[in-house]
Amino acid sequence: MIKICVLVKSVPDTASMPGISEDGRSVVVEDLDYVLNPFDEYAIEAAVQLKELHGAELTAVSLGGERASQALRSAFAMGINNGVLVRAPVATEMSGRGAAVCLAAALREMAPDLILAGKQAVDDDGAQVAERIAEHLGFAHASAVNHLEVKETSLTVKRVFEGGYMVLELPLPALVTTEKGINEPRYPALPQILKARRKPIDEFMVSEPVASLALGWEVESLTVPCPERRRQLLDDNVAAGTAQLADLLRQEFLS
Amino acid sequence: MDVTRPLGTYSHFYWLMYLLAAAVLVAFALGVWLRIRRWRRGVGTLQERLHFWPRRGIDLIVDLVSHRRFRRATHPWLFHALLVWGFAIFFVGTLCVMLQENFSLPTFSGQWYLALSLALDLFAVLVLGAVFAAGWRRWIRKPEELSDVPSDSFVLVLIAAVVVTGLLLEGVRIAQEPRPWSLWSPMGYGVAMLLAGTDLQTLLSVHRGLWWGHLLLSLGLIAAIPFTRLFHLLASPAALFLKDETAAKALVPLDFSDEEAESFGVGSIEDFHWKRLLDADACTGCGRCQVQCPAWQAGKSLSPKAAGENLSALLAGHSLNGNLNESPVSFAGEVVGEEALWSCTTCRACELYCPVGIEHVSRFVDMRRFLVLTEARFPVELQTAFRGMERQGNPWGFDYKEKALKDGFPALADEPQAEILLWPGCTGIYDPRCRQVTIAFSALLKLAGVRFAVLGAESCCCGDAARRLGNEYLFQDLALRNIAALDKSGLQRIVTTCPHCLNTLNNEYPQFGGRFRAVHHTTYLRELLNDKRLEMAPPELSEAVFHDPCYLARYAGEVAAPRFLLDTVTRNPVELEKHGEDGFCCGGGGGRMWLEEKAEKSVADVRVDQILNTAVSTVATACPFCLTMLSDGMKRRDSEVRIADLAELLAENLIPLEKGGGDGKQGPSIDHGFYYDSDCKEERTQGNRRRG
Repeated sequence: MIKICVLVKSVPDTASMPGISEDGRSVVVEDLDYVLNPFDEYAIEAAVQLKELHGAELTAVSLGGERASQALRSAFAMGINNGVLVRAPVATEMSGRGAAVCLAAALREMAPDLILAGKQAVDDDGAQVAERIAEHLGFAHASAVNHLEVKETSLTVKRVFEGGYMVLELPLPALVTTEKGINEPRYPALPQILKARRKPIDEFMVSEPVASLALGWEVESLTVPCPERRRQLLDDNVAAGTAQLADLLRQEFLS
Repeated sequence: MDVTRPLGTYSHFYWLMYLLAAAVLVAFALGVWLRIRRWRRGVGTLQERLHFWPRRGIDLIVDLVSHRRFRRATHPWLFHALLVWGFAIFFVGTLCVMLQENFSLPTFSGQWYLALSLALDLFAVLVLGAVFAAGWRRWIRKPEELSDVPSDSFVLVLIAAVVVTGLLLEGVRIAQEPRPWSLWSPMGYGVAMLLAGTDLQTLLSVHRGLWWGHLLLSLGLIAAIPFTRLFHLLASPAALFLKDETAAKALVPLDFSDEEAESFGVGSIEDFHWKRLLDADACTGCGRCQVQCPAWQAGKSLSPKAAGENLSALLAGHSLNGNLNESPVSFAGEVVGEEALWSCTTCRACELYCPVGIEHVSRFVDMRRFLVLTEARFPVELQTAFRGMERQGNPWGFDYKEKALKDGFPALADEPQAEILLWPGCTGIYDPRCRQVTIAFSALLKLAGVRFAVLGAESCCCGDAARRLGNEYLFQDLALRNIAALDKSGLQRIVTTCPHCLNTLNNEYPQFGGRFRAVHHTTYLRELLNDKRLEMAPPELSEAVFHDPCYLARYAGEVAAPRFLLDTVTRNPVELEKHGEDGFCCGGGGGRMWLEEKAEKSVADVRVDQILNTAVSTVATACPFCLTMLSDGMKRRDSEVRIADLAELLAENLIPLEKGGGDGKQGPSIDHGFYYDSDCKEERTQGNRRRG
């Protein structure tokens, strides 16, 4: 039976507005509501559909602590059988590079045939961890796919881009990240949600040297983007209004 | 001479009569037992429905005697009343015979006998007339909503036969032995006149034949009760006696404490409460519910009647395959059809008009619960609404912290002296159109000098839609959040601009320990006007009409306060044909607000057409869902008819409009301090000024 791992992550609900700490160098995350990364939902749904179609052993993998295990429980509720919480040796913030090192260490031991992940996490939108993992493991990989078919020893994926699409055939083992539209993620049924709460989660302690996980940069300052919407009413005479608009655009362009 | 009639003519045959009666009783008991056994497949105990039983008993008797439940609709009801009253008299007559004959009580003699004879004859005629009327409806007029199975006609004929043989029997007896008081049995006397001249021997043998015929037919009628639609004689009064008046107002909570549970809601007969199964058998197929159902009137496939009948057929072990248009993929699909199930607006029109008190709405919610909670199968657009409520406490999924009512509405912390808590509901906060109502109402409160506060980010959606869409788990989560926030506020008096919140706060939160006293803003505004805290102004609108929100009129019983307010804003208040408790749904209840309209015609379209037929320029309402659904409906009809909340109309009447501020239909002006814009207050103000 094919063995599939799904990478999942808890991210702040994009509807909630994060604040910035007093020193202006980090985001205050304590008050935020965390949810399963929406792109991961597509990966989970794809995995569960593969299980329903061909039979598969599914494991969700997440890096972190309590919040990460919430993501695993969301994955359980949607139909994933097992969960592995990957614990980093340091409790510091990690870059995509560090996260990939930790997750790759765990996945190397689990030796899946297929790794699925969302195309990016909507917190920092790094969109790199999955691809880095594939490189660490030497897996073939395809990003942002919206169609997926598994065969005996390979899989066919379809990637849509502006103006066309490409179909790729990847040998297994492989890693694929999912794009919106690949499926309609299920709303979990309540019995599964309740059972997910008590499902055991395996832990994997990463033994990589701490130095290799370091962030590699320092944040100087953070500012909240200002989605300023200005409203200006122009002259309702078409000619005069158009001239005004042109002026405004010109100013905007020059400034 | 004793004034009575000969009794015991055939007493030498009584052994046979009693034997037959015993056989009939056995068949009757067996039939009833089978029915009760199938109800017992459901869950729940009898005790749940027996509290206040004396009150239930009195209500039932009043229902039966007055037929008040039948008379609510324009449906014919008199023929049924005559049948009920007639057979009640026949039963009394037969009882009197037995008491006199077997116990020598004077129950069938003297003046009482004369009166009884007259009444029996009179009602025999009336019952025959009723059978004629019923037959005319069933066989000639054949109304679409009336269910008709062959045994229904059999029952009608049987009733007629019992009455006709009774009258003939009486006539033959009088012909044999006329008495001075025989005229007190006018029908029998008439038959006797026709038989004048027949020889005694013939009369004797005809009498014997008729006696047996009448006996056998009567016993047959009794035996038929549990096996035909006549079973409603038992099941319908039982349904009325055991009904839960608050079934739809306060839906039964589900228990989620068992984390190993595999199923929630109703996914099989066995999951239903026994009363739902009894209800299915109590239905006579009269079709009042179907006629009144707004979804049915809009051409959708939902028929509350069909749901009950299908359930009854399933209970009897019949397969329903082929009976429905869609191939059933679930229990709900088999009972009502899944698409139909999602069309219910929980408006309770069906329940109001059901003569036997069937709890239709909670039956539908029971089945929605299974689809949502156990199977997670529901129209896909609901996922957004559910997710929004789960994560952000509102069906749109707007950030509740960001959108908190900071611009204009006083928070509790800023208004420690607040006498009321304003509960605008999530539509009254997030929906720009509905928010105008909150603004108008706050302006009125301010004018009246009422100190009030809102909970803002601490409160969330009341959960009405989640609960009625079947997502009980989500509802309980929302309810507990709100109850905690309300308890903390310490304010007992809540005023809400949403009738759905009103119902949930008053009737459903007590199930989870939240005891609050919420009033609707129309009720509160009337209070302010009556207490002279708001000064009346001369009415300005020419003609206006009030559309009753279902959750205000039918759920909360408030029909007077909105009309009081309407009278203060218009010189010419008009009524729609369907108004008050009899109002017609806008289509937004029961979570329909969050479902896409897939049908060609929506419930709102039907209502809008009814309104357009009345030719008014202003329609007042008092519910954010009605406001939205009717406004959208009017747009689809390209109509200029204005839909507004009563608070807006009153505010316009009492608060002078700022010149140039808005287009005159926007309610109170910015300077009243409650103007709201989702993006930026200042720039919008500038924009308006420039336009002015």
